[in-house]
Amino acid sequence: MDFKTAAQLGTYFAKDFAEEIFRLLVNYKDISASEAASRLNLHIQTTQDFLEAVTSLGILSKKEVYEKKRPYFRYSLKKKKIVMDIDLASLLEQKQPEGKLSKKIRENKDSGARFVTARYDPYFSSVAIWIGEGRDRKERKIILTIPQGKFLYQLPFPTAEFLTIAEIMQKSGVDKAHSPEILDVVELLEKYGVIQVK
Amino acid sequence: MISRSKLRGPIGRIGPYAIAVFLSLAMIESIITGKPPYSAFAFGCFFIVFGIIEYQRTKLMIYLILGLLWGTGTWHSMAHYFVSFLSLTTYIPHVIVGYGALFFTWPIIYGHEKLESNARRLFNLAAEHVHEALNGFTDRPYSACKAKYSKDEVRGFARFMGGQKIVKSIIQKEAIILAFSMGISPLKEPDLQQISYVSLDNEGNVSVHISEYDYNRFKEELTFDHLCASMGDIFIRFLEYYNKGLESRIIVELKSGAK
Repeated sequence: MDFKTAAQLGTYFAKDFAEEIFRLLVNYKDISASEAASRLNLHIQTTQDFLEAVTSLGILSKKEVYEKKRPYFRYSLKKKKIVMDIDLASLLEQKQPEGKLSKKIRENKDSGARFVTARYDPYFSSVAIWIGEGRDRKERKIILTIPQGKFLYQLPFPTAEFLTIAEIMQKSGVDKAHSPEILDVVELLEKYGVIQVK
Repeated sequence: MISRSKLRGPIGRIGPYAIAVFLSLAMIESIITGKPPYSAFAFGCFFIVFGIIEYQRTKLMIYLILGLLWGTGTWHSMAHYFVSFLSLTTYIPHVIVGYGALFFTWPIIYGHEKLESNARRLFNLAAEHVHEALNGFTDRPYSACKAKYSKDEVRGFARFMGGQKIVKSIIQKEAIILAFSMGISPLKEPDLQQISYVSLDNEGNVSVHISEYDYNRFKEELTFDHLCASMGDIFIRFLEYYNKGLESRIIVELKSGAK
């Protein structure tokens, strides 16, 4: 199951009437939204939305039936066991990491970012960026991990030669295992105009 | 070697000229009207404004106190012409308090002036080898290099540099900070972000931070990374001189640059 589906499922499961609706679905062969709503004393639209959403996630199946000439849907459970299995490794941003590590970067001129050193150690503990214009201007503070702080400490100055991410990582003594978090902060700072890419 | 300074002149330089101008004005006014109230008023204002400016720059309260004492003292010297209860009897204690304040705070003022003058020398030395003016200022510390030194060597060096009032040494467990500034006095021990410093840590990492105020004192927008690298080289060279027992060379080299 991908993370997005799991998140949607979690949202619907968190509804206080979810358990009661599933109890009906388990005990009834099939049920319509109006039948479930009247049984649980819920608004029909609330019940309808819930059943539709769970159907779209593949847990229920629906069948169109006719009462005289009026069509409506009857919902039934497709499976009685739901397993949420999320592979968090799929979130690892390592698509072509070698390519990304060869990107040449340096600090942008007049980036306006404020780098805060970690006491007297040669790395930064945080970086503050100003976002927005005029009265809406807000400070966004990014707390850095130690490898990120060490990496940014060695980031070339705005007038210095560009260096590849891999070169900066080597200079700052950051292990390759930290590449994903380094790439993450580089992408973020690039988005806010703090880092310039050649 | 005499070279032209790349720095703007210090504000303190106007002091002697201003005193000469106001004394001349007072003499001219005395010759014409018999007494110099307008010159004395302007002279008093000068002391107060100068005290406020110096306080804002250095954050040392003593400049503000001295400015107010001397400014009001100058007004006081003329007050007996206009206010009956102020006379020579009240003026003399005022003068004593003014000079007393200078006497008791002299170590602070002398220390600050010496640190500032040496900071100017350091910046001039660093700027000598920077020929590009591409700006590129950032308030990040510059990772200058990795040097070889022992903990004891660098501590001794920090004490020597501090003792000679070249920098304000901050000795920490993990690193030595050699702070210098042409703005906020390092004697105030301000936030390190506000002043310039060179940091030498126990692992041999040498970092240089140049504050925005100090960078803006240069007439040109010198290429910032070159300036930081040059400053780092100076301190590494000074450390080598110190380790070889050539401390006098540090002073000679420092004084050889433009002021």
